[in-house]
Amino acid sequence: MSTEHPNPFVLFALICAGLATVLLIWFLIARPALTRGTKLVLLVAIGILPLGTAANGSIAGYEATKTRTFCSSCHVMTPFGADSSNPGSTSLAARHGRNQAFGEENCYTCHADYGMFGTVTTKIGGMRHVYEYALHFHQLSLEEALPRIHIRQPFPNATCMRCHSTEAPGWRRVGDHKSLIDQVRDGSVSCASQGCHGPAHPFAAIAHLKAEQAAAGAEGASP
Amino acid sequence: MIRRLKTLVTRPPRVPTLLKLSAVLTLIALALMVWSMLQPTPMPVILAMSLGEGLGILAFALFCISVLIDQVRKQRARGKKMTSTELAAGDSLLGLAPQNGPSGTRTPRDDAPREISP
Ligand code: HEC
Ligand code: HEC
Repeated sequence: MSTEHPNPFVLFALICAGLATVLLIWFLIARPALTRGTKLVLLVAIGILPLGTAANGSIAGYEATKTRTFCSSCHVMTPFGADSSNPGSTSLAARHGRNQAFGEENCYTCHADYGMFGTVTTKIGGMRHVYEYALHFHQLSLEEALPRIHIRQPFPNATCMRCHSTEAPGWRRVGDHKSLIDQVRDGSVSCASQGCHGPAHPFAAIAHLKAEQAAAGAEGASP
Repeated sequence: MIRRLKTLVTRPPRVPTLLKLSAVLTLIALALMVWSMLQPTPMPVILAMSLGEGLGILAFALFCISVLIDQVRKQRARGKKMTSTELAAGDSLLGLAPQNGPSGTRTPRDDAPREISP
């Protein structure tokens, strides 16, 4: 994170916060008379410098929310993060986690909403995740949690097609692409379906499968 | 509780108290924001962007209100003095306390010992 290559936003925000703190502590300890000068110092310490911290801190915070380390900081997401960070993994998610452009932010690039209000709806969705985590998943073990974590809406092909245009000659030469091109474009056949390019997170699919089999087994056993 | 609220209305907090509160709130807000940058995980980042920024805005609003109250009080005190000058015809302005001098401009309540004003 920021310690490896210091983020200029973080640096600026920290400097502003440091200066403001010095001025505020001076005000609280020295209790200067409320002259015009004191008011000016306070305007800087309470208004201007904290604004610098908040603005730059928000940019840094927003950037941080896109990273894989951020996504996998709740325990139920650690296997997803570990898989994408594993250089030997062949999962679709991991194969999208190795390039310079978005490799470190691969969760966000595949799972963010796009469109005009995409960022906002993604953040609202993220807050729902936080709520779900705090209320339901926090106390579950990984083994208990994994089978219960599902994607909320079917993964839209449009997300894959932002980068994979379906226009490249090499892409069009693939037999399945050629025969299914209309269904791929209108989304009726998912790119991430089993047998095509999915599942994107094989270990999660296996956990789902096992849970389903266990449920079916329990049903079969009961009269 | 209600009595406390009542005194809050009849005797609004003094300007230095408000400013001190504003300074402390700013420090808390800054601490939350700095925490979120040093440890960018969900909890600190969410706290900084909600509670941290909320407290920062509240602190700045308190500061603005304090300065406004201070300005109005000083102006009012100045106005009072002017009328008393006019009434006591013959008193030279020079004989009075300086315009924004300490004793002349204080209302009784502002005379509390911890008052910080020029
Ligand atoms: C290549 C795009 C891609 C990337 C990168 C990616 N995902 Fe996914 N993710 C998917 C798709 C597609 C699904 C739908 C289920 C499937 O195919 O496995 C999914 C499903 C999920 C699910 C629901 C579990 C399930 O099996 O339905 C979670 C949780 C998830 N992803 C988290 C992550 C996290 C965390 C990262 C980053 C480490 C990440 N994803 C990176 C494409 C991606
Ligand atoms: C943000 C852009 C982006 C998105 C979104 C995206 N991809 Fe990719 N995809 C890439 C890039 C870039 C590569 C090449 C990665 C590399 O070489 O490291 C790639 C590679 C691939 C490969 C070839 C991997 C290999 O090992 O040969 C497949 C298959 C693929 N993507 C499918 C998908 C599917 C399915 C989705 C939707 C779930 C998707 N991609 C979403 C950018 C994207």
